[in-house]
Amino acid sequence: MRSENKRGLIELSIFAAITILILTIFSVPLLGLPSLGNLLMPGNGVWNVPGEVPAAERLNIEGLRDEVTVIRDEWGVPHIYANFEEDMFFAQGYCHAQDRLFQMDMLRRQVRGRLSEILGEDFLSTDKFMLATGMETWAINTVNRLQEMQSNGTINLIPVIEHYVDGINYFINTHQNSLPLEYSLIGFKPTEWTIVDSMCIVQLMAMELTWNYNDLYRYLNLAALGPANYTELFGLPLPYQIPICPNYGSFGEIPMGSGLKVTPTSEIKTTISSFINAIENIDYLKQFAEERELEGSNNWVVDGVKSSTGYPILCNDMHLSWTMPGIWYEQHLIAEDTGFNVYGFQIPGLPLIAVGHNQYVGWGFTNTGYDVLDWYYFNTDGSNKYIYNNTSMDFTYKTYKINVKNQGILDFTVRNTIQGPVMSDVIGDFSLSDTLGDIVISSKWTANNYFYTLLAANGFCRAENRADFDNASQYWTTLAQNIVYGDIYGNIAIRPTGKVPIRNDPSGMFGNGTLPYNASNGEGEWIGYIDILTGLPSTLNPSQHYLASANQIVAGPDYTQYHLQSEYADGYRARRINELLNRSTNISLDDMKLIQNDINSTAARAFIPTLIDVINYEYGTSPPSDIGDVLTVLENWGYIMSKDLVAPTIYRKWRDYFMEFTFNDEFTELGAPSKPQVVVLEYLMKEVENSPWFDNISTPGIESRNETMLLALNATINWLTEFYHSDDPSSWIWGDIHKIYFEHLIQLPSLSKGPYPGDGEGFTINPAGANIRNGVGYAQHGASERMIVDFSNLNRTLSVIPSGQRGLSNSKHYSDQLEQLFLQGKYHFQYYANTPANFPTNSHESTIYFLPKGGV
Amino acid sequence: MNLLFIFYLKEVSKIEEQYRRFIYTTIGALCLTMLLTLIPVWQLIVIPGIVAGFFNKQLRYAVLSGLTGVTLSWLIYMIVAFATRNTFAILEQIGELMVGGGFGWLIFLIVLIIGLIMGALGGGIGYSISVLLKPYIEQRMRKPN
Repeated sequence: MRSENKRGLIELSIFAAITILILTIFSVPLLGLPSLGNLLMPGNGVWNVPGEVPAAERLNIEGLRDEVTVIRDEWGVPHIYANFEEDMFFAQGYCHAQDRLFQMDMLRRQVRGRLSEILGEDFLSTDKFMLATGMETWAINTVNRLQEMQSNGTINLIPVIEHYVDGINYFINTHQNSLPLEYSLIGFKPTEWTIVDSMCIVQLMAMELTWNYNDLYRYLNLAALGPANYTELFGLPLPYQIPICPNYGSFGEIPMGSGLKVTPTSEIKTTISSFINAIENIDYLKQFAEERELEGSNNWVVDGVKSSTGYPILCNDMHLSWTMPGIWYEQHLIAEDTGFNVYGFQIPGLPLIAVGHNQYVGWGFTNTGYDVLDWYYFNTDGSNKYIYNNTSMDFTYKTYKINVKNQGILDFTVRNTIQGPVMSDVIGDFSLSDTLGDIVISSKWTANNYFYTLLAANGFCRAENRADFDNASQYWTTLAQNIVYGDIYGNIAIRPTGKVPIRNDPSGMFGNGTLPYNASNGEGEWIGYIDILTGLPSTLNPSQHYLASANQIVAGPDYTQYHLQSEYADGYRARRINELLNRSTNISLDDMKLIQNDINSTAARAFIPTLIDVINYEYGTSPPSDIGDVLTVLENWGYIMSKDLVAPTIYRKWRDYFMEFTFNDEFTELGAPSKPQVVVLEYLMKEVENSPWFDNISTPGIESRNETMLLALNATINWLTEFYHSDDPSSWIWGDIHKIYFEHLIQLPSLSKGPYPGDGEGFTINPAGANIRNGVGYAQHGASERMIVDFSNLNRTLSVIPSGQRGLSNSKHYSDQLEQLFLQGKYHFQYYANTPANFPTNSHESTIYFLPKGGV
Repeated sequence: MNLLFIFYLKEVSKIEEQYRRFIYTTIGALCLTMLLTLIPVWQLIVIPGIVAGFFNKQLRYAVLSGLTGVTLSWLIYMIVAFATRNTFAILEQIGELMVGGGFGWLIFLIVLIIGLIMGALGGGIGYSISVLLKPYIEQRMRKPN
């Protein structure tokens, strides 16, 4: 070999070896990220993430009937102008995918048990659980049922969904190499969208709003505390409730009810404890089990007598998890052929509008808290049978296939009872099946049935008056909501709507659905559903000239037909909204903005005056200096939970300690897992001053209410002094310990927003509930949208979302509404222009023209 | 003196030829790199360097040509992406995930350096291949028709 060749070979070997080494290093996934080469090298990953929507774009699309114009305003909100509805829904699907594809993909994957396919084995338990709930199964069944109804001419909804789905798929198919960042980070591509995927998202919302383990926790509390104590602390109705529907009487300050005839057994208690412990160990499911200070929404409407415009004004802010991007997508849909002209919010992945208004009517939601989920326990009879109503029955089986990343396809079989899936099977993974012994726990849920939610939404969007709206309401089944209503004719109304089961539970002796039922004895059978229009409470044009809901009790004592709610809000937000609306007249849009952003705490107003009285009573004019300093702060406080003040910090920490010092001793000793609601503590403090709960049973003496309140205050001062490293109360700033945080869908910190110092608390109208028990608390739930509908001029209607319109983290519309509007309590106009020509030019950001391929 | 002048001219023309080759191969590598950004297989980035290196007569020019072509091409690509798609915001977010806040520029530099290294290595490989193939090519060219 010539020396030149020899040298060339050596050089080639060296260069090739180094090249292969570098290629290998950058081709291997590192630190939980995909290969850096695939992620970072030009032409790949991040470089293919799309940018802003072009200022003008023309798309030639096969199958369109006519031209569609999509104008985006300065907030990126699409206004879709079409001549035909079918084209409008196509464009809606396209826009949803264009802005929120990854979010949509994750939503459907959650329900369909396909998270572990992309995220790996860690999500297998979540997938199993979600499949076991039967949500996907019933989404498929519902699609089949709707298609039958469409074929026989009963409904006309399927084309709406099909065109919408076509729009999504057109986007997916034309953008496989231009996807949001998250696809590169996780390393997968979106697959075709189906109607079932959309239906699964309806199911997911049903789960978010109605799935819980409250019955099981209540059973444990009943078992631990005994019937008398349980009824005192957990009985219904809660004190100080102002019903949503005012035409069924009022409660006043009544003590809580009684009448339970359930005797818990230790075997069932152990079974339920094991089940709950297992659920609390599954990351995704924790959220449904853990104690949350805030679960709710606000809506209210005033009529023309109360408003400054002479027409109704309707307000809505739905409280859901704060995520980046937010859950709601804002849009304006217009079709000439049917006169469809609706502006509002929808969850990406679903067609139509969930909450908003058309040119005649407007509507908004809050959660009813209707009891639509029951838990049943069965004795088994061998491994294949269970006892139902004293009869041995065979389990039925359903097998799902779960594709797990790097593991392939696994089979997962769920046993089913006559009441529903055996949810305790899911926790077999946690080696707890043995502790469940011969008992299985099964759930029965209204979402395990056909659901017609989109049919209702379709009706809402097309309603021209109250009668049309009511007619559509009867299809609103699985997502039980207080639906507030207003129209251009001056009507206001509210209807707590949903499919509520009627139980075979005479006199509620088995808890009326508030406790798990012994199905082996045949308890708690569902024997029908309450008729939505005739059986549930509702109110139209009340004499008080306003209606308000904030997740409180739906009806007063005069409504005696059926048991409706097993759980509802403490009622502090409702108290404040009622207070403001009741005393006000000539209410303007600006007033409504102030109310939606109100951070005056009725809870603080309920507790703090008593605390001040107690300090004055116990110490007279010369309290110890530290308590004197705190007293001065509290006496000068207007109960505004401002992030810049120190009084909110003292109040909030003291309230936690007061709750803890009142109940922890007994609850710990007896093994009760969850505390009463805060309003129960208020009731005891105000009405039952000598309640034995105030005594600390672990000390020899008997502590009075006043002593417990002062002990809590001392503990508060000590804790805050340590936390803030200062005994000067002026440094105990609320915003330093109370933050609000908007977390990215897959918890990527750099794509999340915040934390920001936060106003409010869980009980203020503008809510931000955070747990500050162990230090800085991060509120991650709150208003997920705000809307103020002005029926005197719909062009003046206002809205805002706490993120931005687009889910692309490099877009200026990723967080613009959050940073420029929401955090300052501001809004944007909705631009309810009926034609592209009327759209305000100075708010016009971009236009996409969808043109039929080959011309019209 | 004349001989010296002729030798000088020959050397100058050699250098000029080197420069010409360097410039052509660099432009070729730049264009090829740009084309390859349309194919989402990043490992192909070694190819432009190999092509550029193959047509250079000296190792240092081969390496320099691959390096310059790929780096310049990626630099242009990235600047365009920053301007049109705000991709720098994404680099910032990736930087924050991997290192900490404000390190988008570091990711940018790393990418550029990887391009530089891959271009240089490609150039080296291309040159080495040309050296190895040189006798066979010369042999084929000398073959009488």
